[in-house]
Amino acid sequence: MFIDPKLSDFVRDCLAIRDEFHLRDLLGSITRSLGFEQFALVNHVDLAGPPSGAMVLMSYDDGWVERAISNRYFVDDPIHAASTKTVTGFLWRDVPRMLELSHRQKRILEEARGFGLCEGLTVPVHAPGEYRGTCSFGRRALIDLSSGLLGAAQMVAMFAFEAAHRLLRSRWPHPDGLPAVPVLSRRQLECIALVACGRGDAEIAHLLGISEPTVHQHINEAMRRYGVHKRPQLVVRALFDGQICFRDSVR
Amino acid sequence: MALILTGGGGAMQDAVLADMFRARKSVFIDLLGWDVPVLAGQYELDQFDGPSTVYLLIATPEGAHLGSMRLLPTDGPTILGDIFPSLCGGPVPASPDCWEISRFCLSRDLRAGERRVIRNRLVTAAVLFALQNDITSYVCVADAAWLTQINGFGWCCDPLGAPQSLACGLTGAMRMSVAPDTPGLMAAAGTWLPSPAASTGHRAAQGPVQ
Repeated sequence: MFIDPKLSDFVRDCLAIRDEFHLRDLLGSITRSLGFEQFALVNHVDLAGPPSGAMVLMSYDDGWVERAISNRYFVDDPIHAASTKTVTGFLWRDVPRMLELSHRQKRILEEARGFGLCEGLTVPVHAPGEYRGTCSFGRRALIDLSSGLLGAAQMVAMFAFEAAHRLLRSRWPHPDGLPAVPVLSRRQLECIALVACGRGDAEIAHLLGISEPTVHQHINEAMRRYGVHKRPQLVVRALFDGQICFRDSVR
Repeated sequence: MALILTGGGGAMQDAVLADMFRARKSVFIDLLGWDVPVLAGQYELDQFDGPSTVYLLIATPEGAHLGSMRLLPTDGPTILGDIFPSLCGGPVPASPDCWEISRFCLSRDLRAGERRVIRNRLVTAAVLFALQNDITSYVCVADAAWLTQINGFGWCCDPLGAPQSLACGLTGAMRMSVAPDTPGLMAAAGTWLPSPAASTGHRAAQGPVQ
């Protein structure tokens, strides 16, 4: 399939990106070429890097961003939640079919409309153990999701994300490449998966046929290897690295 | 260890390759449900697996499969040229210095941390193979998720066409350039990971692998 020259230019320009202002300008321009009005590139969490390693580039209205931050909408952003359930781009209007939306999430979607974010397309971008995020495009009018549009959005998301990631790496280089994914034993992984299901140590011990202190030990050792002190942090890190998957946590 | 083998070889090579074809069945047919042929109920092979097909493997010292890929020169039959030419916006690459990577396969019983290591070893071995055999680029056909990963390995990638929604999902063709600066780019991306060469028990087909 023929690539629109604007897309080829975008890919080529991404490879020569200088800084995030340059990337934001490129994204703004390609967003309009794709037929959208606003964009948001959000690196959800770069857990393997310093806290300042997360990158957010968006053209969303300042008023919307302010409201989202002060009301902590990012905590249960429905678009983010939907993006973890699929590997390809999806329309915002399909999100109610993808997950059971809470009242708060429905309200978030409704309020966003007031800021011109009525219709949108989000492309999840996931490189296991490296980054997980989304690239979203929004506008007022209805979207006709032709396969051409989906392919083009996928390409933009992929190359924009890699450009952002390269920028971050050059800013905060890890001395020996990316920190290694901690090696965990099979038992430790089984325990973490059950913790992710909300099971307590006694239940886990019963399910795995080992003693409670042993369960506690496995989890503590896993936390030590990850350098975290709380179980929810351990679960999130293991999920991010792909050591357990979402299916593990819904048993 | 890293091995480069061709389809026709001695008994030891056959055992390693057989393990690879078994791993391919486990991944592409059992796990991913691809509609591709099975041989003797155990092995996944198709028309592109022939006596002169080149395979790159990462195996244990005992010869057990950890990861592998298939390499085909684009001046011969390839998946991109023969099955998915429409994924290219322009002419399909066809030259002896451009090879296609396909059937990129990691053993299913590897854990997540190990998967990334074997994946990095394989990609590193592919780049070394290219540098040692005057190959200047690789091409591949892959789904959106894989394309994202491939794009992040550090090498220079450019899409051959816009990804398309096919029956098997959003699929695209990508070209990855290999040049003397590629190892450095991959090291910066955290992907560069050379493997020890095979011991003398395994005959390498072309080029030493570090």
